Amino acid sequence: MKEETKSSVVETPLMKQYFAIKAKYPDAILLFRVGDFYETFGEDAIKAAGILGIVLTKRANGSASFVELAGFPHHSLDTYLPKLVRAGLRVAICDQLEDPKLTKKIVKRGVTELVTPGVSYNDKILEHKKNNFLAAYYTDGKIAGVAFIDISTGEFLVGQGNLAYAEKLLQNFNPSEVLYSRGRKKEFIEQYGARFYNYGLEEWVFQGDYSKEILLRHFGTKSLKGFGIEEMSAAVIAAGAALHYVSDTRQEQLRHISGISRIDEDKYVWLDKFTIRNLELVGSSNEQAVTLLDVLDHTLTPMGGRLLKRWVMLPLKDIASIEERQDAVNYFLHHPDFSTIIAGHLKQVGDLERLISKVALGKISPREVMQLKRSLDMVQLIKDSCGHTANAAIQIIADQLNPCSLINSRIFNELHPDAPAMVNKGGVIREGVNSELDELRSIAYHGKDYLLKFSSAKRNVPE
Amino acid sequence: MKVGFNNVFGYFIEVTHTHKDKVPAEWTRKQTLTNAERYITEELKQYEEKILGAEEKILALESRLFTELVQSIVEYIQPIQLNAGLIGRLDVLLSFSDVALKNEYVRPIVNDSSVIDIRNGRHPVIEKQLPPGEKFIANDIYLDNDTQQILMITGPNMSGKSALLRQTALITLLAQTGSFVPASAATIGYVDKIFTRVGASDNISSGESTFMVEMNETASILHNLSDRSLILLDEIGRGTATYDGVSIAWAIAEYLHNHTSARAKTLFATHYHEMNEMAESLPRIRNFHVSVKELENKVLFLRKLVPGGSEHSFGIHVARMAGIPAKVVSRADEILHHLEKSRSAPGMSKKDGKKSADEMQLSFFQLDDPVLEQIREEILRVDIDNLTPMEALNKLNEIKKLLGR
Repeated sequence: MKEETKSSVVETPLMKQYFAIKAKYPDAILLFRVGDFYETFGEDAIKAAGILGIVLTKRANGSASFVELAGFPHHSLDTYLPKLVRAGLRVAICDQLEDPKLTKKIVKRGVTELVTPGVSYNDKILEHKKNNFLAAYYTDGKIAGVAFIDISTGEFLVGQGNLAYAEKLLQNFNPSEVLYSRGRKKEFIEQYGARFYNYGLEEWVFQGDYSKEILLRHFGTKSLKGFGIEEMSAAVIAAGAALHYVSDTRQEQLRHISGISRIDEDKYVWLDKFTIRNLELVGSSNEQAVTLLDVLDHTLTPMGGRLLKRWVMLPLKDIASIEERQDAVNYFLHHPDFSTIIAGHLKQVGDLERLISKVALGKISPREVMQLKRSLDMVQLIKDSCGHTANAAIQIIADQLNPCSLINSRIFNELHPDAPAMVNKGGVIREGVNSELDELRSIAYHGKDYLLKFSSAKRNVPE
Repeated sequence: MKVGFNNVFGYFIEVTHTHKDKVPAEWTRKQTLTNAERYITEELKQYEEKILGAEEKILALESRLFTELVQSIVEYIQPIQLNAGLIGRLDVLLSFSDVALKNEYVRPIVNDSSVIDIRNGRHPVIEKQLPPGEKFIANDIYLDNDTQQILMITGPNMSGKSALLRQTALITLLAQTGSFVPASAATIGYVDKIFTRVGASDNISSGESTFMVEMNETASILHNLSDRSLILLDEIGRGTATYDGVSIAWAIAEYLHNHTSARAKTLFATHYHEMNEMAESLPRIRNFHVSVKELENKVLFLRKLVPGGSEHSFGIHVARMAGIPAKVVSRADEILHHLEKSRSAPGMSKKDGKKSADEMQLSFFQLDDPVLEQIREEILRVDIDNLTPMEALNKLNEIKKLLGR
């Protein structure tokens, strides 16, 4: 398609721009913002129309040539994007980078976001009680390293061991996307086949020096010793590749990925992959089957749901840690009133982890900031209630909880209590925060008052 | 008349036709509707500019102030992430207590002994799925490294052997996540690895050599086991011919028992009751069976684990229940007795197997009924090593037809 139009016919400037951008993302569906629409062209349009059930049409492209076209209004992005990603596609979102009013030539466009199954923060794509991991896999043939990043929660984990261990980790964490080195594609496919959605990265990304550098730069540290992974060369390479990929596909900051933790092989019970499958711990080949997690999950927050899944996958070997958990469970059992109070608070805690990630990504809405604030209110209440317990484990949690009062009261003072879901709806900021804003508002409101007066005054004139 | 607003020309004054002759000359007409005219005036436009300008500025200002607010929250990413982790932890612990209360779990003792001692253990998932009124049959399981390392559990299909194996693993696993467990009491000497293998035959449709896969998987256990491993072997060897199956199962159990450095605790479920003979020569193997009661022509699965091997196979009983002709069933009984007699010697050498086959052939030649003669021919022609379960069923059907039923 592309070749033909390029060689034989003169293209419109718009299509020229489109193909130039599309050439950088050959394996992604390119959503191309044109006015109020996101359009797809050519092969992309055929695919998108099929998946989304939208009309496929043709568009003239310069002299006597046509190109397939399918599009949807820009405000429907949240509806259509998840469908494309769930269909296993990589989606590049290309926006207008300048105000069309201010330019006479064709408006500048560029890809602002690349959404792939493993790199997504969209609430419509994610499930509350499930992590959405992107994994990177690296092996030198004997030792394998695996890294997991959940961009929606900011978690970053690595593990290293033999090939079986890496396979088990991949099965445990069940990532939505696995990255591997293109040079080792054959080996990867041989071992994992189509079990995971996978994507090959260029080989140079999987190099010790590069990986270490990108990690050090991201965390702003001088070594990786603080994370306990300095010596885990394969894990570091995998971690570097994963970070490279997310910082490459997202132009925003990733400050919520603030640390990297090590999945220690010796700390947890080894459950081989057949055991995990056979015991139907968290999933089953049979859709209807009830899993252990289904029976066990009485959690009240998304964070609890995700953590429980991890605890089931990674049972402990250290007796003291197990007993510490048991003691806390026991305390709850013997203090039903206290449990009820805590449950009441927990129910009102939102997805703190994902909310704060959206802050880092610059994707949080005013209404979500309000949710964050309310969750912090609950943190304060939980801290207060847990502070008086006679249980060490719960006491430690109480001590460590940080209600962030300063920012909480700043949000309270500045944000309108009924803050809207979108900034451009107005009514985001409270009165009394900014005098200029108050003045402008009074003009707007009194202006309307004037018009009403004007309306009734004039009514008298003609009569 | 009234003042209105639309996106095309902003604020306007609407006057109905009845009054339009009273409109001042300086008003500009913008639109005519069926029963009204719309005008704009200089004065109105000035105000409009002020108002719309203000609204635009308000949005820009609000958006800037909001961005500043979000920027200040960025400084709190780490403490808020820490909160999220702590809240998650508190939530899971509370969830454990809620499950313990509602599902009647108890606190297990987890220690560094080498004992797994579960009293009245239940399967956490199955017990929740029983129809109302039905009670889950709880069972005790005891394993250790010195006296009772391997439980050889026999019993017919459907009797609940697999569920019992899985419930033992689930209870152990739950105990080590810090959860309480579905039992009346439990002591768990912590385990470091849990292995599971289920004999093939469940995926006939997949086409690959499931037996090969099964053996590959089993090999990886035998290479990786430790002194604190818990191993579940469910019908290992089922994917091949009976003699091979029993021999392999036997050899694996022997290996696990005689391993010099790692006495892995093992639950071994099998419907080969020949395996019961192992307990006679290997001290840490104990026989158990899942009890079954025969009521007229019904088999009642009691699902209770009791010491000792099972006396006989229920396969023939099931065949009778399924309506296989009496002649075939009684003959099957005879053959079974033959086989059992010839294989009663411990050790299970290949020679024994061969001998029993010879005896079988002899007895077959002594048949005089022509139909049975024909059945004999049919059976002898079957190449068991290359027979799929589907073909075996077809063959059985053919034999049944020979009997004129």
